[in-house]
Amino acid sequence: MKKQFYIMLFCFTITYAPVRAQQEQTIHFLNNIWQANLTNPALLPSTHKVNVAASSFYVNYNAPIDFNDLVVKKGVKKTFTPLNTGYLDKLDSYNYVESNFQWQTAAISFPVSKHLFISLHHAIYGNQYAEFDKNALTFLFNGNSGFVGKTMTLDNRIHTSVYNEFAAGIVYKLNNISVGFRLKGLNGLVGAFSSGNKLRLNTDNTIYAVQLDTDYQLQTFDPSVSMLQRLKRNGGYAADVGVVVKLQRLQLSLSGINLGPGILWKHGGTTYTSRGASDFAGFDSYDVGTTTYQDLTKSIKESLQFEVQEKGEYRQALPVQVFLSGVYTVNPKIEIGGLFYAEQSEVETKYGLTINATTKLIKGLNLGLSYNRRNINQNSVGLHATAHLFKTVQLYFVTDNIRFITNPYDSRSVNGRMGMNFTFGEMKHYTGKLKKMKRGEERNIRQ
Amino acid sequence: MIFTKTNLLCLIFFLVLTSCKKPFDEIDTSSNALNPEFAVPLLNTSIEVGEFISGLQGNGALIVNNDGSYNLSYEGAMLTNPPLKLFETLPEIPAMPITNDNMSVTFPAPSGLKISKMSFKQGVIRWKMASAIDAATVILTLPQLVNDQGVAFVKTFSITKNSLLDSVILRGRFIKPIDGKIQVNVVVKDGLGNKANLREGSISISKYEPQVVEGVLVAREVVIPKSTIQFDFFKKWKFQGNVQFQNPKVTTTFNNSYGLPTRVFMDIFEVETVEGRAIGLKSPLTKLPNGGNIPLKPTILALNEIGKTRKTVYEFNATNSNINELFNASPMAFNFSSRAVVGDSTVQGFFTDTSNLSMKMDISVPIVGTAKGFLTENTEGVDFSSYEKVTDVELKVITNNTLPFDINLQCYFLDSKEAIIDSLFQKSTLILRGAVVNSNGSIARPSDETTFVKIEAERFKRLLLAKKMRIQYLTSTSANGNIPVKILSNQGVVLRVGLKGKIKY
Repeated sequence: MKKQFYIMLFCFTITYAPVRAQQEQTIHFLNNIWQANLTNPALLPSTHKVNVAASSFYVNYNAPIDFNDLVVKKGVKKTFTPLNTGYLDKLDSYNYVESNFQWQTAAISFPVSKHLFISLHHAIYGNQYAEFDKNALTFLFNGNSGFVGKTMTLDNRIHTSVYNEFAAGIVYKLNNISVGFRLKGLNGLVGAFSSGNKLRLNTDNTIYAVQLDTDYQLQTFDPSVSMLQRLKRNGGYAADVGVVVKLQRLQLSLSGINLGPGILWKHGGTTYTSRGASDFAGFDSYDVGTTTYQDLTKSIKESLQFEVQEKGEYRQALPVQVFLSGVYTVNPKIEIGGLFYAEQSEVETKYGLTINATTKLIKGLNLGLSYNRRNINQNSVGLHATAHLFKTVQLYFVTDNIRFITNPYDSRSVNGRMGMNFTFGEMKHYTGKLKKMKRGEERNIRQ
Repeated sequence: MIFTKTNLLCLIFFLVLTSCKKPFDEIDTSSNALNPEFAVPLLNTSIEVGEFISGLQGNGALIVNNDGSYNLSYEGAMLTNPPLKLFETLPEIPAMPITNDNMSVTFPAPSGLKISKMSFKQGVIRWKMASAIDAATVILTLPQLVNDQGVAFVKTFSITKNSLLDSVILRGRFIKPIDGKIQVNVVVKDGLGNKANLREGSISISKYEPQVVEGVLVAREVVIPKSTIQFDFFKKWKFQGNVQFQNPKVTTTFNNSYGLPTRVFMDIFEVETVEGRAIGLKSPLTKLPNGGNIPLKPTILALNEIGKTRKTVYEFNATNSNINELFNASPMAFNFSSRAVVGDSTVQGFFTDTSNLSMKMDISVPIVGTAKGFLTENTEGVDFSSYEKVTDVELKVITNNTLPFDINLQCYFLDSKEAIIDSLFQKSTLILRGAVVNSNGSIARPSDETTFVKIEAERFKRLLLAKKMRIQYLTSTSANGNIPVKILSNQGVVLRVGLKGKIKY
């Protein structure tokens, strides 16, 4: 059990942590697949009337280490060893880890009239974010004996949640303006949220008396009920709004995502609180013949005890995202666009910028490259590809960071979405528009 | 055309495939690669001197003196002699015929006892008489049988030709034999006051028990049971080396309620050392220079002290005995065997039915002295199996000592057959440095000592198999055991132990 606990704790620290948004910028420019609708509820594929999204998966991972740091080489043999101390030196003094996944189980959009479209979808989101001092891992991996006479800063912040999203949206199109609104029912499945992040462990240099100075609270939510029953607990809602305006070859888009109160977690809660100082200075008496290792560890744990309450309540507001973009159709085969992205979460405010170029290389195959800038200092080159096969099958792949494709095990940032859609009913105005644009270009060439 | 949809899809597929190199050969999700070392406090305590010494006292008692010093006290059992054992059986006066008017009858006294006065706890005088005539009056007089007023026993009664049985209870009366005899006077008269004769007559004394006997008792020996006092201080701890106590003493306390000369001969008064030797006490109080015994003489009671008890204490100390020699030989038991001689044919005295001679031996050892190379040993059962996750260990032992002892420690770890697996140190190591003492043995200042004990992984693995631990303490008093030191109640040891241990998750 302890082993499992430590592995869990490790994974928790390395791969889990924040309720940040699932920052996905390049997909905003894939306006021929349904998933772009996630960034603006007014943005529906302009090519087909009915779009059915089968399962798609999104993964995002940013960490201070890469996969190869978890691989230990002994001679020619390489062993994936997540619990090794080799990468401790690569960590900064304070580290951030975020990982997100999204499993979109199904989605559909279809017209109910000339101007009105309906969009429905369900997805399971997992958002994890952790901030942790390097010492927290050092403590687990190397212990505290290297910090005798010092204070170990074990500060950390944890925000993790897995939740369901059931969404229904409408898009109203009038002439060149589309307005979208989506209401999202949320249902928290599992969550853990910390508040206050102070965890300081002092080990004195006489007989190593340990003192814990804390201002820390962790609330976990895990209703011990069946998955079906979980759907009725820890509910909430949010809304997305968006508008798209088309001006000749220029399309402008503005959206706000995750507006609203979010999820109210109150079922299956446990609150761990530690505030103030506690210490363990050793036994008053120790019988070497009968005092066990378990007695020792139990006494330390009890002395440095967290107060545990079998209840908790936490309001998890989903991070509000704003997408402001413009796409210019250079010619029937090339589009270029720019996006300004902003995100306000409980933890911080982030900004992003994307410049994208998409080419319809051949009929049914779109390729694009993007330049992404996140959080002021994170730069990456993205890639996306959409293939339309057999008229109704649509395969797509998109990433904000191409590096993890070319060298996935040395990349500290993983980002990508892939999936399959089905499309039905090609829009006439779309084909007409293309033909019109093509004729115009041919005239220009002849002139 | 090179940019066909098929070609491009193949190209993407190829790029993905080539980027998906096998990242590793095997997976190890265990925590084997981790061997963190944690530093935790293990023990933080202070040991008062009382606790420290009480571990050594065994069945003794630790007495705190007014000045804060300690005495280790061992109390022997009270050895008593039941007084009635003085007389195995008490004789009776059988029915003796009354042959004349004034006859002298021997009072049945135990052998060696010449009674001058005796009170009865119980007893009966019986007589049987019949007259030679039809009716007669008898006056029976026992002039030496008196009541508490000193009035002699006189009984007047009528008899006929038929036998008359009568008796008188002796309880509350005294008898005063003269030269062991008592007088019985019988006067028989007819109705006119003339002397008459008895057809038959007899008198007897039976079932008597004395309460207080005055007289002369020929000296007789009374055995006092043999006794042993276990002196656990040394017996409990296997040792070698030398411990010297200052001013130990053994006291012999007699409680005597005999009014007769009493002498106690200490036939055996010796210690049994841990080495199996027996060393006898030599004292001018008990031994003549030529080896003959000198009796101890408990104080006897005077006649006006009947029923009281007098205490007599003999103290054997360094000034009147070789007691220091006995204690410095590491005694583990004190054996006593004595006999009392009660009575003297030339001395008048008394004893009662509750007269008693009890003897009690006490050992008192002030905890003042010196120790040099004093090795004690203790073996305890241990079970380290719960420490299997621990690998390398380093103990940091910090002591602050106001006790005037240096203690060197060695631990041997034994398997189930008591074979030595390993030892804690290569050689016995000083872990407790004694407080600095001045020339008169008082503490000048406490001492601090820090000791590191490192046990590497391989050694610790062996120790996990240990079933017993034999701990040896080598103790010397401060100043290299040359200055007698005094242990006071405000002394003690502050003991703090920290542990650095590598563990496997």
